[in-house]
Amino acid sequence: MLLIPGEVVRHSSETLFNKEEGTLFITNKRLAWCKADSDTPACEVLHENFCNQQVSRAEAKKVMLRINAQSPGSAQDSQPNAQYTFNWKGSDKEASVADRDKYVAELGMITTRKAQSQYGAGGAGPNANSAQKGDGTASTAAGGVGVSLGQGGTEYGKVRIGAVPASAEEIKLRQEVLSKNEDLAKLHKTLVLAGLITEDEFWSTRKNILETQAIQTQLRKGESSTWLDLAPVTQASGDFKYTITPNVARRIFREFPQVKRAYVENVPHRVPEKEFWKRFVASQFFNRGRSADSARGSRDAIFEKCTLEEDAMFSNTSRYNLEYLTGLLDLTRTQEDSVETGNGPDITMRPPPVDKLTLIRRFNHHSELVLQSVLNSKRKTASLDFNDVDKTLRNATRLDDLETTEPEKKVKLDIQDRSRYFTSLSKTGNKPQNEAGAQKTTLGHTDVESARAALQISFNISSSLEGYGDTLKTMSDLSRSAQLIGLQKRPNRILELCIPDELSQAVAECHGAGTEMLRHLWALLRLPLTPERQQRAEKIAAAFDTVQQRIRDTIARSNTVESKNPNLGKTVEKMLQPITDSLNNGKQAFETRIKVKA
Amino acid sequence: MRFYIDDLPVIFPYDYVYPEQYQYMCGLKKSLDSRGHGMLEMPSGTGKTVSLLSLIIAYQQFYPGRRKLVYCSRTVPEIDKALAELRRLIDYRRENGCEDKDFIGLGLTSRKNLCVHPAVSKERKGSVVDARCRQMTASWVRNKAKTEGNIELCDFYEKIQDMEPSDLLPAGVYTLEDLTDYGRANGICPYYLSRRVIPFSDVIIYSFHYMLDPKVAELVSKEFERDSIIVFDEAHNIDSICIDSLSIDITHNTLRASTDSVERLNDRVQELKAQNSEKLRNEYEMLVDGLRDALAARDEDLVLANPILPDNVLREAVPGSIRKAEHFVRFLKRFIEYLKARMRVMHVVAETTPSFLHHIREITFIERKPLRFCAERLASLVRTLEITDLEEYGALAKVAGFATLCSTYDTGFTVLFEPSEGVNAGSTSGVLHLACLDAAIAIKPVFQRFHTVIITSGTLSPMDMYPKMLEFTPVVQESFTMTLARQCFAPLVVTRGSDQVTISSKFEVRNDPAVVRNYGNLLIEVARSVPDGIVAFFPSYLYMESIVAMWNENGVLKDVWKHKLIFVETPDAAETSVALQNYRAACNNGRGAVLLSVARGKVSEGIDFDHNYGRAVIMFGIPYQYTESRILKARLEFMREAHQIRENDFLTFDALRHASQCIGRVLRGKTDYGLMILADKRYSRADKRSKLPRWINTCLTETSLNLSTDMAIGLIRKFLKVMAQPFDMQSQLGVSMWANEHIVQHGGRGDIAMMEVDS
Repeated sequence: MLLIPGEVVRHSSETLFNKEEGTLFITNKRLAWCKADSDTPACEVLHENFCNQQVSRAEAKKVMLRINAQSPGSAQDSQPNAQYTFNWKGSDKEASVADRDKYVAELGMITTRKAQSQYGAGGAGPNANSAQKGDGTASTAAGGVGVSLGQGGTEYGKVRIGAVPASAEEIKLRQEVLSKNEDLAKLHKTLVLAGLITEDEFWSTRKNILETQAIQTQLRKGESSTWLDLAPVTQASGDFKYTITPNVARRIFREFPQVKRAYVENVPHRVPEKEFWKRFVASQFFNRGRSADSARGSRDAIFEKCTLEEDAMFSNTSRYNLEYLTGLLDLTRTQEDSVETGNGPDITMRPPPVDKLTLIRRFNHHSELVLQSVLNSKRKTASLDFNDVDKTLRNATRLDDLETTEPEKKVKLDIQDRSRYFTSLSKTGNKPQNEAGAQKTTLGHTDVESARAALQISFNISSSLEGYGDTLKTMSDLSRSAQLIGLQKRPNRILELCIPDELSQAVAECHGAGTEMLRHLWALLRLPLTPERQQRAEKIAAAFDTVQQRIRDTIARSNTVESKNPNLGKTVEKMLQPITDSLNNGKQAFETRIKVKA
Repeated sequence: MRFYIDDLPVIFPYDYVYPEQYQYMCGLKKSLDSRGHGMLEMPSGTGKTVSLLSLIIAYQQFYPGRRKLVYCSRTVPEIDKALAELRRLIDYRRENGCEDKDFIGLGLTSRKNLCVHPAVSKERKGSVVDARCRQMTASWVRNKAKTEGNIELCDFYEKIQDMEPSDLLPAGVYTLEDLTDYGRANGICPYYLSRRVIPFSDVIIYSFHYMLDPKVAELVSKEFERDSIIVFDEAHNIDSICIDSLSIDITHNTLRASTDSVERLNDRVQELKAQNSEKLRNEYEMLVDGLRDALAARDEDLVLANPILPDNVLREAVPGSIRKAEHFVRFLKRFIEYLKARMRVMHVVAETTPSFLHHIREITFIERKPLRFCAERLASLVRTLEITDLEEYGALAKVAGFATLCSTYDTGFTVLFEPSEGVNAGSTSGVLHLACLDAAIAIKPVFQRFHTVIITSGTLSPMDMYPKMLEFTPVVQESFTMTLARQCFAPLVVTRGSDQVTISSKFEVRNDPAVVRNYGNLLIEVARSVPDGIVAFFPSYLYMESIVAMWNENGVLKDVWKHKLIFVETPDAAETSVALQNYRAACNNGRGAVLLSVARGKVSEGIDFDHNYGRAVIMFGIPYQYTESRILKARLEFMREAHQIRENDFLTFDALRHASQCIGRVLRGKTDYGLMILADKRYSRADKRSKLPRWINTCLTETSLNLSTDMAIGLIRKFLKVMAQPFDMQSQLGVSMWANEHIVQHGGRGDIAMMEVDS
C-alpha cells in the first residue's frame, strides 16, 4: 500500500470487504483496505474520523469487524455516517479472532485518545483547569487526563510552518486541511501521492492555508453544550447497561456537585466505585424529571442526601447576585412594585411540584455552566456604572433608523458567485446584477479597445520579473481589463456553453494539475541546475505526459457526452488549449535548458 | 424634527417620523381636544411611547392649563424606559428652543426599588423593607424619639421633613436610577421625595396598580386634577388588572393569622385603655362625626373615588356597634370564626354576595352595614393604636377588605368556597375566593374623574371588546398598521408536522405522542436554521413542564442542546431573571439559545426579545385559559349576562391577545426582523385569525396559513436569507419614514414656522 509520509503500518491482514478480497491495514494514521491487485486503498478511515467499532459475537460463524466513521469533512461531533464491514477469510477461526483483536485493541486506543483530546480542546480555558484541580481529588480513575489538558487548545500555538523537515504538528495540520478541502486533497493525490513532487514542495506554496488552519484550531471553542445523557444500552438479556467512563464521571461531577461530594465521601472506603455508579443510575436522584413511573428509581441513602442538597441549592434564590443583573431584565423589581392582589393562579399556572421544577432548573444550571466556561465569569465585571445603565436604557428605547447617521465606512460583502447565492431566491435576478457589476468595473476604461490595449503587454515568464516595475498594479490592470472584455462580450458565457457539471470539473482538474506542475517546473528552472534538481525536473516533465493524456481524455469524453451545445468537444478543446500550450512551452524550455547545459 | 398637527407645534426627537407615528399623534390629539377617552392600537416596536410623550408634552406646554400627564405602564423596566425616553425628549426640546420651565418628570415605585438607607436597602424582600421603613418613619415613632433617646430613625427621611416640598427636587426628568442617585447624593429619601413631589410634577410614570388598586390609589393618585391626561400603555391586559385589584383569596392560613392579629389588637386595646384611654375616646368622637371630610372632598370633586370606600359609607357615620374599639375587635373575631366554619365545607359552594350576606346574618346576626365599614374602621384603629408593623396585620386587612367588598356590591362579585382537592390536603388546603367579575368596577372612578383616559397597546384587537368590558365610550378608536419598506416579520401558521399529523394544544390531543414529537421536531428544526435567540411560549406552566419532561425523555432536547443552549422560565422571579441574563449572554457570544417560557408568565409581559435576542418566536398552541376554573366560569357567565359577550368570543379573544403579545415580543423597530411561528391547527381558522391585531393579520397570507414543519423551515430559510442582506434605510424615506416634506405631501403641516424664524 502507498503510505502517507510519516505513516507506519502497524498491522495488516487478508480480509474480505464488499465480497472482494484484499488487505486491511492499520497504520498510525488510518485504517485502510486495498484490493488484492491494487496499491491504493479502496476505502480508508482516518483516525480522526473513526467513531466506533463493532465485532461479531464469539459464537458467530464469521469473524467480522464493523467500523463506523464520519465521512471526511463532516463536523466534529456529528453522527457517524459511513460504515465498513470486514470479514476475515481464514479458515482457522481462532487465529482470525486473535488477528482481529489486534485491530480492536488499536482502535480502542484511538477512541480513548480521541476522547481525551476532545475534552482537552473543549475546556482548555483557565476555568477548566481550575475545575480539573477540584476534580483531581475526586476521580482517581481520571488521573491521566490532566496531562493532555494543557496541550489541547495551544497545540498549534507555536508551530513554525514551512520548516524542513516538517514538524509533527505541521503534518497533522496538513492532514486536517486535506480532510477538509476536497479539491486540495485531489490535487495532493495526483501530485504528491503519485510522486511527482514532494510533500514539502507541495505545501511550500500553500503556507497560508496551513496558517489559517493553525489559527482556526487555536480558536478557543466553548464546551460542547450537549446535555449529559446517560442512555443505557439494552443488552440481549433485557438488562440495561450504563457505561461510565472517567470522562462521563467528570461530567457528572460537574453537573452535580452533590454527587461529587458523595463520591469523595463514600468511594472507595465505604462503597466500591462500581457499586457507587450502579446505585447512582438506579437512584431517584438520577431519575428525577423522568415521567415514566418505571424509571422513578429506588430510594438510596447516599443519593437521597444529594436530592436534598440539590433542592436546597436550587431553591435558595439568594445564591443569585441580582446586583449584576441588567435592570431591564430584573423581574423582581416589578414583583416588588405592587402588593400582591387578586385570586391565585389556576391549576395550570401554579408552580409545579419540585420534581419537575428540578429538571427545569437542571437545564438552566447546565446552560449556565456551559456559558460560564466561555465567559469566564466576565459577567461579574459588568460594572454598576450608571453610565452603563443609561446606555442600556438608551439602546433599548432608541429608534436608530429615524435618525440621519453619518454614513460609516463599510466593507462590501464580496460574494464570489452571486448568482449561486441567489438562485434559491429568484431565478431571474442575476443577470441585471452582473451587468451592474460590469458597469462598476469600467472605472476609467470605457471602450473595449482601450481596455484591450492594456492586454498588449508581452513579457517573458521565464525571466526575472524584478525589472518590470509595479507588478501588482500591472496584474490588477490586466485582470480588470480581461474581466471587462469578457463581461462586455458575453455576460453569461459560461451558462450559454452548457457544459455538463462533471465535464467542467474535469476541465478544472486538468487546469489545476497542469498549473501546479508548471509552477514547480518553472521554479526549478529558474535556479541553476544541479543534478538533483534536474532529476526532479525530469520527473515532472515526464509527468506532463500524464496530464496531457488526461486532457486528451477529457476532450474525447466531451465529444461523446450529450449536450445542448453541439460544439461541446471544440469548446472544451478550446478551454484546455492554454494549458496544453503552456505545458508544451514548459517542456520545450526545459529541454532547451538541458541541451544548453549539455 | 418639528411639525404641526393642526396648530400645535410638535417637537419630535428624531430626524424622521414613521407615518403611523404621525397618524397616532393625530388620533391622540383628537382625543385630547375633545376631552374624551381614546383607544389606540399601534404595532409593537414602532415607537409608541415616544410619539405619545412628544404629543402630550407638546400639548401640555403649548396650551394653557398645563394638563398633567399620568402615564401608567406594566412593569418597572418599562417605567424606566419611558422615563429615559421622556428625558431624551425634554433634552431635545431644550436644544430646539423650548424652555419647558420647571418641568419635572418622575417615576414612582416601591420602597424596595428606591431605598437608599444603607441597612434597609440590603433587605431582599419588599415587605421587610416596608416594615423596617415604617418602624423608622411613622409619626408616633418619631414623636417618641424626641423624648426618648435610643430609637433609630432614618436620616434620609428626617431630612425630607425639614424641607419645603417645592424645594425638594430641581426641575428635570429623573429615571428611577437618577432618583436614587439624587437621594443618595443629597441625603434624602427618594421614596418619600417622589411622593411629595407629585403635586409639582408635570409627568408621573408609575405602574397600573397605583391607579387601579384602591389601596394604593388612595395614597398616591387621589389628588390629580380632573383634566389630567391618564395613559394606560401596554393596556391589553387592563381588565385582568382591574379584576385582580378587587379580588381576594382567603386561606386557612390567612384566617389563622387574622385570629392572632385580632388577639394582639385586643391586647393593645386593653393596654391602652388601662393607661390612657384618651386616644380611644378621641377616635370614638371622630367616628361619630363620620368620614365627613372625605365626603366633602369627594363631593367637591377634589379626589378620585375609591371603590372600596363607596359613597354611602362616607355619608353615614360609622355604625354604633363597631364604634368602640373593643366592640369592633369582638366583631372581627366573630366574623373570622364564621369564615372558619364556612371553610370546613367539603364541597364547592359558589354564591352571590347577597346570599352570602344573608347567610351571615342568619348564623351570626352580623348586619350588612357594619361589615361595609370594616376596612375603614380597621384602618382607623390601626392608626389609633400606633401600629407600625402593618405586615403583621396584612391578613386581617385582607379579611376586612373582603367584608367591605362583599357587603358593598350586589353584583359583579362571586363568593366561592373551594375545599382542598386531592390527597395532599396539607399544601393546597381550601380557599375562599372573593372574585371580582366586573372589570368596570375598579376602573370606573378613573373614567369618571378624568376627562381623558387613553388606552393603548400593540395588541388591542378586537377593539370593540374593551369598551364593553370596561364600560366606557371612546371618542377615538383606531388601529394603525405598520408601514414597511421591507417585510421585516413573517408570521407563519404551522398546522402539521412533517409527517402531516395535525398539531394542536387542544386538550384532547396535547399529550398525544405524535403531537409532542411534532412540536419537538419543530423546535429542533427551528433551532437548527435560525441564528442566535429563539423564544418558545407554551400555553401554561403545566403544559410546559409535561412537554419538557417528555422531550427530555424522547431525545428531542438532546438534539436542541446540540444547536443551542436551553433556558427555561421558572415561577421564581429572581431565578428567571438570571436565566434571562444568561440567555442574552448566550445570544451575544454566538452560542445561541432557546428560551422556553409561558404565555401568561412574567417573561411574556415586558421583556423584549429584539434583534439577536429573538430572531424567532414559537407559540406552541393557543394560550387559552384553564376553562375548568370556577372563577373563570363565573366571569364568563357574568359577561354573557351583563355585556352580551359570548363565552367563546371572550376566551378566544383572551387567548389571542396573549398569543399576539408573545409573538410581538420579537419585533422592535423597523431595522429589527423576526419570525413569528404560530404552531397550532386552529390558528388557520378565520375566527381565530380575525382576532389577531390588524398589523399581524394583514401579513398572514395564503402561503403562510397552512404549513407543515418542513414547508415552514423552507420559508424560514428564505426569509432569513433575504433579511440578512444589507438594507439601506434611506430607501424607506417617504414610504415607511417621513421627513417634513412628506408630511406636507400627505396633507399635514410641516415645519414652516421654523423656516420663518431662521430667515
